[in-house]
Amino acid sequence: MEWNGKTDIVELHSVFEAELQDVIPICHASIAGTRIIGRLTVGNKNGLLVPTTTTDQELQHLRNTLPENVKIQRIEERLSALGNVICCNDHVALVHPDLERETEEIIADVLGVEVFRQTVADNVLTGSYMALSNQGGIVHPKTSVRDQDELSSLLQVPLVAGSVNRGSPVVGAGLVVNDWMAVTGLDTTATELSVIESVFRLGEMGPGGAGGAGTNKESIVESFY
Amino acid sequence: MSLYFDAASILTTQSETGGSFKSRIYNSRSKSSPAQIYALITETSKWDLLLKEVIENAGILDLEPKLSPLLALFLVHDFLLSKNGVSAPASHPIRQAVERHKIRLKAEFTKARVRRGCTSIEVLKEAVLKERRDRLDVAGVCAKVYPRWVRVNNLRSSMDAQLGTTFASYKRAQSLAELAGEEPRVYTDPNIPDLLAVTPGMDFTNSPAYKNGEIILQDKASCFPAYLLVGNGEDWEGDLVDGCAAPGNKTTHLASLLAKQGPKKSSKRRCRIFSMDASQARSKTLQKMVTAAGANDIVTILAGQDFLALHPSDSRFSNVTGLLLDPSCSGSGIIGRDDVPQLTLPTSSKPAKGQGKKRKRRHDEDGDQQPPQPAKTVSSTEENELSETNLDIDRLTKLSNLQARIVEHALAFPAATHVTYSTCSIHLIENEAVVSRVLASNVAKRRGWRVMRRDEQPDGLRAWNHRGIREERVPASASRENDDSQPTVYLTDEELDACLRCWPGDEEGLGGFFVAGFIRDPSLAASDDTRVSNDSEEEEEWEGFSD
Repeated sequence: MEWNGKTDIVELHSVFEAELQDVIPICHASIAGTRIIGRLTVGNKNGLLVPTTTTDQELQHLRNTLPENVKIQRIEERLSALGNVICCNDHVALVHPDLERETEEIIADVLGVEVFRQTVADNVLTGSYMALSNQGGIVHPKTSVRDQDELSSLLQVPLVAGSVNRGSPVVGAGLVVNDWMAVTGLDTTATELSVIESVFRLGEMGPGGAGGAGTNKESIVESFY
Repeated sequence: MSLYFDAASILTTQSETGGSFKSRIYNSRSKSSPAQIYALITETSKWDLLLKEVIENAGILDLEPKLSPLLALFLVHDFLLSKNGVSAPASHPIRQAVERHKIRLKAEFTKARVRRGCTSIEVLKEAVLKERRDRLDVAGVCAKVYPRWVRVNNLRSSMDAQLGTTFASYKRAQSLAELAGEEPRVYTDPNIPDLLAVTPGMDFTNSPAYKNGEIILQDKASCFPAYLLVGNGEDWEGDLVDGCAAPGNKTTHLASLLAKQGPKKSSKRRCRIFSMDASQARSKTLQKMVTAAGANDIVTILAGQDFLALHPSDSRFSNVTGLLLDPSCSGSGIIGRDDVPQLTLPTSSKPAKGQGKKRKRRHDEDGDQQPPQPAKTVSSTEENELSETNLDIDRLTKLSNLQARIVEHALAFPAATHVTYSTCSIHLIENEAVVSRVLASNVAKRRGWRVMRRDEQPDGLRAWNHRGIREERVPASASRENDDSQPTVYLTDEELDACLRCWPGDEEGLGGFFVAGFIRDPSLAASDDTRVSNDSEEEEEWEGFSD
């Protein structure tokens, strides 16, 4: 989500905390003094990559907060909005074609993924135009069927072309998703939500096993209407 | 580890030395085992199109000055597809050059696989092989079917028996073109008896029939000489000599044809075949082939015997009526099957870089035992030009001198009535020119030799349409070089019609080949045979070619 106003951030935090505090620990952090965490960083269960602009204190704070088995690395990459140029789940990362070779190596090492240089519907910002979990993915609405097939077989998960926030093609930025829940912007329509739910197989399984998240999801979705 | 450099140098030095692909590998003085090099090259050649794509997409050639396109092909092949990865120490610069890019290479490989819609490497392999075949088809190189030719050995089996056993599951094809598919088919050759054409790619080396010598894998063209010499073998009388026999396919073919004489003539003295090769090493192969074909009791092998050193008036050969001669030639007609695989090389996307850097790189390569890459890239379409550009007039002239010498020597055998001369060359100078020289020679005139006219040839060969030529037939691309020395021969139409030719790349599915037969016609003889001994003294003055 492209938030940058402080009030919005506070609101966001309160929403997440209200809904998730019993389920997921929430960590307050900043990157290079800004609070645009999602767009500047990228991570999965294995690791977290932060841009070169991250200060030492911020890095230390992240290290202190995250579990030890999550590797954290700051990378020297010109394209510093890592969340926009890298899209990954726990197995595969699709990255901006102009990313440095060293960065590719680091992504592979830290995140433990296969790295593919890709475009999504001719957009180089794979992280912005694609949202991905281990269950499925949603790509730019104008992605051709052929590209979807190719991406889908690279990723080994089902893909669908769709939008968020009432027709926005920037699905990566308009949606936070993990394997059992998704959070989207307020404008997202019911149709968009149902597409997202089905491709990410939300509600089928939860943190405590299949069906466990059913109630959680209901409450979250409700709170956004 | 020098495996990759060795493999690369075998492919890049191909223009200078002759010999088949295998022999070049086994004769090269490289440190790595020949089998390993052979496997590396053949395996890589199967994947070359895909690897080219991977290497180009990964862009490693621009970044790794140590990697020539060929080296990169080998290394990336091993890195991605070999069970044990690159066989070089982890610290070796060329291994590092590839492994620095392992993420990118693996990603591009996966993408290439996905693009072809393949779920596994095995499926991908099929797809890649098919792609390669299709591509070669488009390039027109393999547009024609090159079937697997199989000759049935009458000493051990018979045509009917083989069709009923080894080829029982094969569908009968009505024409060569039908062999193009994947399905096993067999086609009975109309020209040569006991010869079958089988769908290309069929492997018989493990079949019991092959191991027992019941079938022999022999190209159709190389069946011509023996058939031309003895026909169906039923009426043949006298002994035979195969003067340049190794590896022995033609010798065993002679034996197989004579086997048809059957027991009905057993009362009469059985024909013998004297088979020899000047090279001891190749004579071993000859011995092996003859034993495998079960021809030991009618073939006498003179191992390491140079045909030119034989005395025609030797009493052993007093009953020799037919001689089959297939002397060494340039091999310019030999195609594909066992030849050097043509690799499609990846190209670097940015050819020119900073001048200073480039010079440094050149230096770097020299220090690194990297043989300079020939300027032209070897591609699958250039097969023919390749042999043309190497056309070395000197070497061809030497060869044709030797060939004429050998044939003339054969004509001096006292009882000889039939001689065949064959080469696997397409060059006029080794073929029709030799025939014309031989006919003009003293020994031919004195003893009344002439060509075996088309109407005297066995039925199958009489029907063969590709006949001798008067002027060199050269591909347009190579014509420039030969402009000044365009040779022509002075043979009558009848004589040219007596020569048999095969051309690579036509619908017959053969390589380039040439056969001519000579017959002794005593009515043409200038005088009697009293001067034979003189003649052979002349022969001995000749000092031989080191070829």
